[in-house]
Amino acid sequence: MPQPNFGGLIRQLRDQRGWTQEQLAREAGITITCLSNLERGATKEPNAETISGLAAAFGLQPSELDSRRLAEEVAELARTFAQRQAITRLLALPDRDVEAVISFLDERSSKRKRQR
Amino acid sequence: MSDKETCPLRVALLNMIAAGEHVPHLEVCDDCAAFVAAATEAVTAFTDRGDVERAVEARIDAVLADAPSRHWGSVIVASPELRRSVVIRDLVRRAYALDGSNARLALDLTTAAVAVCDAMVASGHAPSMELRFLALKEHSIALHRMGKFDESIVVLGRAWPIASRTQDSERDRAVLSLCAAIVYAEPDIAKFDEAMEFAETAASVLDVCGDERRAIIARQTKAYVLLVMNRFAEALPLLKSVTADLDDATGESRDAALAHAQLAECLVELGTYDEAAEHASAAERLHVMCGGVVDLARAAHIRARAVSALGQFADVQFEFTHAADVMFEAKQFNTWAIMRLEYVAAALANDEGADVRAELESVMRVCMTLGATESTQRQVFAAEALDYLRQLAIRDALTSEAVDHVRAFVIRNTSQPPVKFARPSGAFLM
Repeated sequence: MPQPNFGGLIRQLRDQRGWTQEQLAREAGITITCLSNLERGATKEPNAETISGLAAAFGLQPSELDSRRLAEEVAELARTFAQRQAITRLLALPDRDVEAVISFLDERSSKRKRQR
Repeated sequence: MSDKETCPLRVALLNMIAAGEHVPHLEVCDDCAAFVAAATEAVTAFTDRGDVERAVEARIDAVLADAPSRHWGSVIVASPELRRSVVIRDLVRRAYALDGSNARLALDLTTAAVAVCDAMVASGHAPSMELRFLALKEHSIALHRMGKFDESIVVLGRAWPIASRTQDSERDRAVLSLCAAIVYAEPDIAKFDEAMEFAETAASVLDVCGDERRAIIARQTKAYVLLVMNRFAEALPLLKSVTADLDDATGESRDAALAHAQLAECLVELGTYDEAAEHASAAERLHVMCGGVVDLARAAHIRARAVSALGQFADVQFEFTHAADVMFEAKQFNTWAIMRLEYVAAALANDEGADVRAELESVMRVCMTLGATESTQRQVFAAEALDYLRQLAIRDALTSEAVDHVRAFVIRNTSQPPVKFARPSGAFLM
């Protein structure tokens, strides 16, 4: 979910650039009403498309406006990093050990499917 | 310290750890402890086999990033951590996924897979027989797709003793027989008797093994060989059963479409034009769904031949021309030349006085150009055959029989080793 002061952040970024609501709405591909509702806090949860449009208008990544996306991206980065390290250590094992780990993962997946 | 005699099996060890059991053996065996440490990290980081495979894929991509694809084998073999079964599977999977769309790349991938297999065997850590079989089989298929038929057969020869030692040895050897049948049926190899024998063996074993799809392909291969050998009456019942089986097994597939087209072609040769037109239409309908423009044009051309033989030449002139144009666009000049000759034969059968000289001139020009650039025996012989027709046309002595004779020669010349053109016996001497 975007941070509580999402509307305030948008307003602040717009003011910094000296843009009117009309200019920003046009750049972001949204209506002035939608933008006005956001800035006033009348809309609390803008959809992903609106966030992407606003981010593009400001030249930012959507995650820079949306804390939820930022958290997801950080989690994904951490997961990728852990997997990169894990695969390095896994491939350092002899082939039969690598195959054993893959067999274990297969067994675990089958068990989970059966449990479901 | 490590004591292989008392070490628990690897998967059992991981199951004990996952169940939270205390394993005293880990305190005295460094080897197992190191395995458990790396494996625990892996089973925490990866949800399933797919996760591991994606990570391996990323690692391979990183290693191969700056290497030309023809060097991938040596680059991977030079990285000791990539001499692993999981890497071989990844390379084979990538080649398989290309599905003939990039034969060169598929060959580089299977070459790399076989190189990794060989390096692992040489280092005393051979992958499973099943994986070695898979890599060699896909390599043979990739070589075949690149037109390297002799090399493809050599690789099949390498795969044979390995297939004899897999768990499903009978089925795997039948699969190799099917591959061999397909290669032997190639025009440049043209070992049709062997191809038939291999296809028959493969079909019967694969049927018993329950590999229905491959069993049908084996029968289709046999039917194709019979078609190439002009044994249409023998091919007919086989093609009918293959078409029915493919309709049932695969529904709206390219395989089913090709089978309908082959059946239609066989029926045209046997003079059963109504039925031929029906099957050609079925092939067209299926090809429209599958999106194969060239295959669709071939099917349309067969229907045009059938319909024109029914006396409705004028109705299918557009199909004749359009199909040939598609072949020309696709640079399939041999097929284009045969199609234009079949058009000429149909035009002459419809009207003995039809002026087909322009058509023959254009076929001649294209074949001569091909001969000049590729200078293969095939094109030279085809050009001689076409010149014969051209000379007849100049003297207004062209007949549908002469065109049929040349057409049969060109088809034979395309599907079998090249032979010198001979005029029909008793032909007008020029």
